[in-house]
Amino acid sequence: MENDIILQFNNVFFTYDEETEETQSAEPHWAVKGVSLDVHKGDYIAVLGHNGSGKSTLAKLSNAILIPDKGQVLVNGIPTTDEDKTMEIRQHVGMVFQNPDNQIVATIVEEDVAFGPENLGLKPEKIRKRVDDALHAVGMYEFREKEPHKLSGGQKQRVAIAGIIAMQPECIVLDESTAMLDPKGRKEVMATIESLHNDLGMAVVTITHNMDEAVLADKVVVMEKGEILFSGTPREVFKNVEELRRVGLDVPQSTLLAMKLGLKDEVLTPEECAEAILKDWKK
Amino acid sequence: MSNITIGQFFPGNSVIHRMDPRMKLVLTFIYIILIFVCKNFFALGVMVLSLIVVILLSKIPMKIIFKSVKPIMIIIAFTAVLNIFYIDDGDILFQWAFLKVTTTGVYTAIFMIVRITALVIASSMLTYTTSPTLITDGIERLLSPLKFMKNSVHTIAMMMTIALRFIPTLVDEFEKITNAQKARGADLETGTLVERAKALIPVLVPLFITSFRRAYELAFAMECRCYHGAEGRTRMKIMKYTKLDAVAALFIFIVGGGVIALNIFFEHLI
Repeated sequence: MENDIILQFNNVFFTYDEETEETQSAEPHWAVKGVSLDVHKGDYIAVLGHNGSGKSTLAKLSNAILIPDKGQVLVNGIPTTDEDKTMEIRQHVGMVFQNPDNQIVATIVEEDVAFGPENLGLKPEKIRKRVDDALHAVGMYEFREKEPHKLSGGQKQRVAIAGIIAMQPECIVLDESTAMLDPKGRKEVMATIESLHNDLGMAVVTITHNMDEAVLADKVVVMEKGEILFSGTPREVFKNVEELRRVGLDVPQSTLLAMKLGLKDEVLTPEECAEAILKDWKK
Repeated sequence: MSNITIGQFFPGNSVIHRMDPRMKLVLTFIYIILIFVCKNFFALGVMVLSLIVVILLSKIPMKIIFKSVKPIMIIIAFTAVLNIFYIDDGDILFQWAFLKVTTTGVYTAIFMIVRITALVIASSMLTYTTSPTLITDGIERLLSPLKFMKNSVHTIAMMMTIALRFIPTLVDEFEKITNAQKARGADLETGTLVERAKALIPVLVPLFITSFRRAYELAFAMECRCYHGAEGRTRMKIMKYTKLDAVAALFIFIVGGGVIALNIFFEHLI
């Protein structure tokens, strides 16, 4: 199991504080404080936390955009401090941001998807194949010659995702990628992420504060004040309703309903909730 | 506003549209030089005829072609008037006080009108039939053999691409902010010019701030996609010269030959 770790955080510390005379002696305000986390091949991890919990910082640490102050981030065994291998690291761990508008570089969809592979210096035929595959994977192939500003939010975000998967990373990090979308766009993007994980076997780390998205993951990590508060399967984590609410997070609505009804079963999705209510009523 | 066409490009599939953008750039450049080489009406006539052939081949409606000339009407008129009164060679047609109109003056004025119009239409034909992306790409590729300036050419081309990409986004943003300020009671439509310009400040400041934020995020996103300048970067789309481009080059070559021959055989007007 050691070998299939793609992304590894080893007791990572990071602060945005500038190092000055005054702050040197005092303990800095850590945005990320002693986080250790392993992402294996094919994992689907959701990182939860309210604003300022350090979850976005964690994302930026994963592909050498930010370098940890203490501890180590390893991508396929390469520490992110190795400046010569930054490009290799970013090829392994792709990142999708919140605002699709600010990620699309080119004026035509397919040229934007080609941007990453072009930077890797691949041959034109190879780029063409990767671009077509990536656009098929996100279901945007028929839009390949469209201009990005004529697409909907969800479609733009899928183009941004295609731009990342065209680099064929083993792990894709989504930094609140659905936060700016309408419900329809969110659904489209969620379905795309699911298929990347299920069909392409890509490891997915999604950073979110939407509980219903977190339920889909295999593992949920809850962050609070730069530290990991809970970590485990959604079922394990969402049991802690009281603590989650204390740190400003909700549990999925179905879980909350089941709890308020005093049901014994652990419930995550609306379907499970319905079943549990039915079971209870039959009794 | 989301339907704005950038750079006046009219999509199509004519032979002119299908030409290699590099060839179009080079030939337009040569064509413009040839316009200035023309010394008499015969040579200029050949240029106009060849331009008409290109317009017909491009299948762009005449209405749109004339639209490109409209903004510079005043300049054309000004040049014509200046030429009419300034040149006092030839037979006098009309004289009033110090104003004198001569045949040469009139000829020169007409010559100038045709020349400037042809110049403007020729350069608009390039932008009408080539998307802005292809033009920037074409320029980048044309200049890329110049090793010493390869990096700066790439940087400028990338800047142009990003600028083109963000025009619609910023137009949307501008509208959003305008509406937000109007909702707060901002009055953008009435008042003197100075007042209206001042009223725009609360719109422009947020626009600038968000643009900087966008630039910052875009830089992150580009870095995440391994962007590191021109070094070792390849392109998906390869530009290939086809028979079409050879025919076009031959056409301009013949036109150029004709112009030079006509310049030699007939007397010079200017």
